[in-house]
Amino acid sequence: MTQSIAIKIDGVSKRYGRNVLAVDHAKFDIKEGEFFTLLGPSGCGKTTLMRMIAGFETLTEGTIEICGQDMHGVPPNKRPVNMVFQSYAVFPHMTVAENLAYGLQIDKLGKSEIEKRVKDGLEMVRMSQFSDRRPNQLSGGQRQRVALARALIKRPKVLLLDEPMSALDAKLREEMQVELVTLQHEVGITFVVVTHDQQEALSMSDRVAVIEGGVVRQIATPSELYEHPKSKFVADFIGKMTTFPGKHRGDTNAGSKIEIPHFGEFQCREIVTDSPDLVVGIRPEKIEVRRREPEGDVIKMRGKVKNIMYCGGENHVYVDVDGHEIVAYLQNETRGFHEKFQVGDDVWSYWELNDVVVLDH
Amino acid sequence: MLNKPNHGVSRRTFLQGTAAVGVSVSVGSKPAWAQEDIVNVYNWPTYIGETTIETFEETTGTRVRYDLFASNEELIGKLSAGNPGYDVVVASDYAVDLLRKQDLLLPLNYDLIPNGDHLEEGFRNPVFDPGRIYSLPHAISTIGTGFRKSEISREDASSWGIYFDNAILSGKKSLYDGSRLTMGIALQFLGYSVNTVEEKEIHEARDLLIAANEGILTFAPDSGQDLLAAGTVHAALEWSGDILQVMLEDDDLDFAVPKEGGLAWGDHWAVPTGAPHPENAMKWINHVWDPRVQAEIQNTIRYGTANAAAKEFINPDDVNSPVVYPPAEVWGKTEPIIDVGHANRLYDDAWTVIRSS
Amino acid sequence: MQNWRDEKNEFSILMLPPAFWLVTFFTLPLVVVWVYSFGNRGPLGETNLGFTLVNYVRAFELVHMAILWKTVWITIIVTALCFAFGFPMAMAISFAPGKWKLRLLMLVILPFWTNLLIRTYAWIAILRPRGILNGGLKWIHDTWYSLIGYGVEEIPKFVPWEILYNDKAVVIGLVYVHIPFMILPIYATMEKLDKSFLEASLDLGSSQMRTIFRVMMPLCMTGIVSGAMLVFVLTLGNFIVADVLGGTNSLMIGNQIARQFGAARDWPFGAALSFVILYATFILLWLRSIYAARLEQRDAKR
Ligand SMILES: Nc1ncnc2c1ncn2[C@@H]1O[C@H](COP(=O)(O)OP(=O)(O)OP(=O)(O)O)[C@@H](O)[C@H]1O
Ligand SMILES: [Mg+2]
Repeated sequence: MTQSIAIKIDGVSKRYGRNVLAVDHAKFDIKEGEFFTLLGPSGCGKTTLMRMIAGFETLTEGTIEICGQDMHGVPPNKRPVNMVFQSYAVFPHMTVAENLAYGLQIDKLGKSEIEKRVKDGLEMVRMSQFSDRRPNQLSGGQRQRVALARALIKRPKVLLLDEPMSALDAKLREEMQVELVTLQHEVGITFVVVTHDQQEALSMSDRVAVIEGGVVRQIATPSELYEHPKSKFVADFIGKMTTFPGKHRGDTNAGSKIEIPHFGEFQCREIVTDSPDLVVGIRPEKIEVRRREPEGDVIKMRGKVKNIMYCGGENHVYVDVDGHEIVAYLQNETRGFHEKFQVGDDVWSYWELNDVVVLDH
Repeated sequence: MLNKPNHGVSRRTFLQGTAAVGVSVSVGSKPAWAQEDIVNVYNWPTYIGETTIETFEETTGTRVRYDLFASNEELIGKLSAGNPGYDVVVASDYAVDLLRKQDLLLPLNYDLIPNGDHLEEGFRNPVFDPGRIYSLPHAISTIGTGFRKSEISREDASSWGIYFDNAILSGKKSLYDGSRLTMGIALQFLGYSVNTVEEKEIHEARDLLIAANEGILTFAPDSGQDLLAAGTVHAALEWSGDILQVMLEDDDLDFAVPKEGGLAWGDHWAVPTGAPHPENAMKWINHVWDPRVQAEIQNTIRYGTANAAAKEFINPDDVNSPVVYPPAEVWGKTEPIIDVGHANRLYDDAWTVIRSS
Repeated sequence: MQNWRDEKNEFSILMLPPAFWLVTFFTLPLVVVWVYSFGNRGPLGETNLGFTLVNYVRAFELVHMAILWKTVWITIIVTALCFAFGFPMAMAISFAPGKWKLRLLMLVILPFWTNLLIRTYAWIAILRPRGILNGGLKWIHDTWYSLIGYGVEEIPKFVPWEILYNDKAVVIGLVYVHIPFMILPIYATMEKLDKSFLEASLDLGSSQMRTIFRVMMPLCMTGIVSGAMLVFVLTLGNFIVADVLGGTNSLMIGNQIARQFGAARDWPFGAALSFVILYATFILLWLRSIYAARLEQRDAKR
C-alpha cells in the first residue's frame, strides 16, 4: 500500500541555550492516516518535537514538512495541524459549545454551519448534553473530550496529542484509549500522540518512535518493537527483558554463532550482527521454569528461585543463576500445567532458541 | 488660603513639597524634655542662618532641638490639637492672628528680650498683633510681580492690571494657587481691601479672575519663580525673596510692587501656649534679634529684616536693593493679609468657582 | 484536620491583633472624619462638633457636583489609558525572557523610590514649551524642513505644542503616576496564567490579536479589575498632579478636599465632601450588586 506522507521530519534538532540539546537530528516520516506515537522517558524531547510540528518552537536545524509543504516561518495559526494540550487548555471563560465554536469562527463559516459542526463534534465525543456547561463543571475525562472535539472539528490534516491520558485515572485511561483509536478510524485523520506510557503506545499505535535523550532510537510497529527491539534501551523501556552480555563467535551458513560467557554457546538462525560484543535478551513470558532438566534444542540454565511475586494473572518468578537474575512470567492457571515453586527451590530456566533477541549493545 | 512662600536660599519648590510629605523629626515625650536645658524650635525648612543654632548654644549653653514644618496650616493644626512640646515657632501674619485669638500663644517677656528694642517703628503695631504682644518679626517680604524685562516694561509690570488684560502676555502669566493671595490682588486692583468681608466685593473680584482665566497659564503652587526663570511665563505673582533668587541667575528678570499696593508679608517668632521651656524660648528670640545674629540670618536667607540695628551688618547689596527693602512710599501702600473669620467661606466658594470655570 | 469553626476561641485570639489594628488605624480615623462632617467651622477655622447638615448641603451645591463630575470623567479616562498602556506592558514583562523580567519589573517599581511630587515636577521639564518633548518635536520639525530642501532662514517657525498646564497634562501625569498600579496586578495574574491557553487559541487558528482579546483579557480579568479599581480610587483622590500640572481650571475633587483640610481650614466641609464620595461609591457598589443578582436570577431561569 502506498501511503502519502503527512509529516516529514528531516534532520531536525532543537537546542535550548548552549547546553540543552532537546532533540538531536530527528529524521522520520509520518504517513497519512497513521496513528503515530512518540514514546520515551520524561525529558527526552517528545513535547519539544511535537511543539515544533505545531509551530510553537523554532527549529535549530532541519526542516519539517506537513503535507509536502515546508513549515519554515509558518505560524501556528496557519498550520494544518491542531493540538490537544497536556493540560487540555479548555477555555474556562467559555461554555463547552463556545469552546468548540471558537476555532471555527476564524474559518469564516456561516453561523448555521458552525452550529452544525459544533453539534456534530459534541456528538462525536458524546458530550451533547454538556454543551452549556463551563469547564469547571466537567470531569477531567469530559474536559479532554471537549479539547479533542474542539481540535477535531477544525478538520486538521494532523492531530497532535500531548500526553492525552496523563491526567486520567487508570480505568478511564483505558476507556479513552479505546475511544481514541475508534475515533481515529472514524475520522481518518493522522494522529501523532506523545506518551511516556509504553502500554498505551503499544495498544493504540500503528507505529511508535522510541526516543531517548533527544535521539530517535527506533521506529517500528508495536509488535516489531516488542519482539525485535534493536537496543537494550528500547528493550528495557518496552516491557521487561533479561539480558546477558554476549560475544560474537563468527558466522556460519546458518547464522551467527554467539557465546554467552559461563552459560555456553548457541547458534542463531540468521546472521544478526558483526560487532564482537553484544547483548542477548529474552522476554520474561518466553521463559519456562521447571524442576526437571528440559530436553531438546533449548537454552537452559540451572538456578535457584529467589523470589516469587503474585501479580493476579501471572506470577513473576525471579531465578538466580550464578549471580545473574532471570525473570520469568508464568501464567497463573488452575489446570496445573505449571509446577508450584517456593523460594529456594532448585530449578531449570529455559527458552527456545528462536526467542532470543540479539541487541546491538 | 495662604501657603507659605519659599523660604531660604535654594530653589526650594521641591523641598517644600517633600516637607509636606513629612519632614517632621519625631517629637519625644514631654517630661523628658522639660527637665533638660533645651529649647525646641519649630521652623520652616532652610529658613535660618548657618551659624544661628551654634552661636545660641555657645552663648547660652542651652541645647537646641530643631523641627520643621511646611505650612501654616500644619503649624496651626499641631498647636490647636495641644502643643506637642514646642518652645518657639515661626508663623506668618495671619497665623499669628489666628493663634493669638485662640489663646495658643504666650505673651513675650520683653524683660528677657532686650534686643526687641531694635524693632523698627513701622513694624511695632501690625493689625495681626497690635502692640507686638505675642510676636517679633523673623523675616519680611512683599508680594508683587516678577517679570522678564525684555518682554514687559517695568512700568507695565507695576500694575496688577496685567493679570486682568488678556491681551497682555496672554498665556504667559502665572498667579498663585491660593485663594486669599490671588483674590487679594484682584481686590486691590478693584480698589478694595485685601481683607474685605463684603460679599459684593469678593464676587466682583471673583468675576474679574474668571474673565482673566483665559490669559493666565496656571495658578502655580509656589513655583512662579521657576516658571519665570524657564521662560514659561514672563510675569509671575511671587514673593520678593523668591524672585530675588532667580534674578541672581538671570539679568533679564526683575521684581515690581504694583502701584495698587502689593501685599506685605512677614513671618514672626512666637511662643506657643504650653511651651515646656518658655524662658529658653525668650532667650532664643533675644538671640536671633541680636543685630549680628539677625544679619547673619538675613545674609543667608536673603529676606528683609525689621531689626534697625542689624542693617549695618547686612550685605550692602541687599540693604540697597529695592526688592528686599522697598522704598517707604511703596511699603506704605502694602497691606498684610489677616484672617477674615466667617468670610473665609466666601473666599473659598469664590475660589472654587474660579478654579473650575 | 481541625476546622477553625470548631475552634472559635483560639481563632478569635488569633484574630485579635489584626482586628485591633484594623479598628484603630482604619475605622477609627474614618469615624472621626464622619463625626467631623456634621460639625461646623468656627470663625478661626477651628472645628466645632455638633450636628448640622450644612456641610452636606454645601457639598451638593452645583459647583462641587460639577467638579466631582469632571473628576470622575478624568478618572475614567485615566483608568482607561492606564489599561490601554498597562496591559501591553504587563504582557511584555510577562513574555520577556527570565532575566529581563526582573529588570523590567524594577523599571515599573523604580519610580516609587522617588517622591511623588518630584516625579510630577519632572513632567514640567518634559512638557513645557521649551522642554524635552517640544525640544524633540522642534528638532524633528527643523530636520524635516531642511531635509525637504528649506534653507536655514526659510524654515517656518516651530510652534510648541501646548500640553502643559491643562487637563491633558493632568491626564498624562495621572496616567504616569498610576500605571504601575495597573501593570502589577495584571502582570501577577498573567504570570499565573497557563500559557497553553494562549497556544491553544493560536493553534485553533486565532491571530495574536484575537488571542489577546478573546482569551488573554478574559482570563486576566481579576487582575484587570483590581488594577482598574486601584487606579480609579487613587486617581479620584489625587490632588498633587492637578496642582502641579493643571491649568487655571483643572481643579479636581481631591484638590477641593485637600484645600478644606489645609488652607481653608474648614475640616467639617472637607469631611462632608470626602463622605459624599464614599457614599457615592457605596451606592455604586450596591447598584452593581443588585445588577449582578438580577443577572444571576436570569441565568438561573434559563
Ligand atoms: N524552554 C526550555 N528551555 C530550556 N530547556 C528546555 C526548555 N523546554 C524543554 N527543555 C529541556 O528539553 C528537554 C526536553 O524537554 P521536553 O519537554 O520535550 O521533554 P518531554 O519528553 O516532553 O518530557 P515529559 O514527558 O516530562 O513531558 C528537557 O531536558 C527539558 O529540560
Ligand atoms: Mg512533555
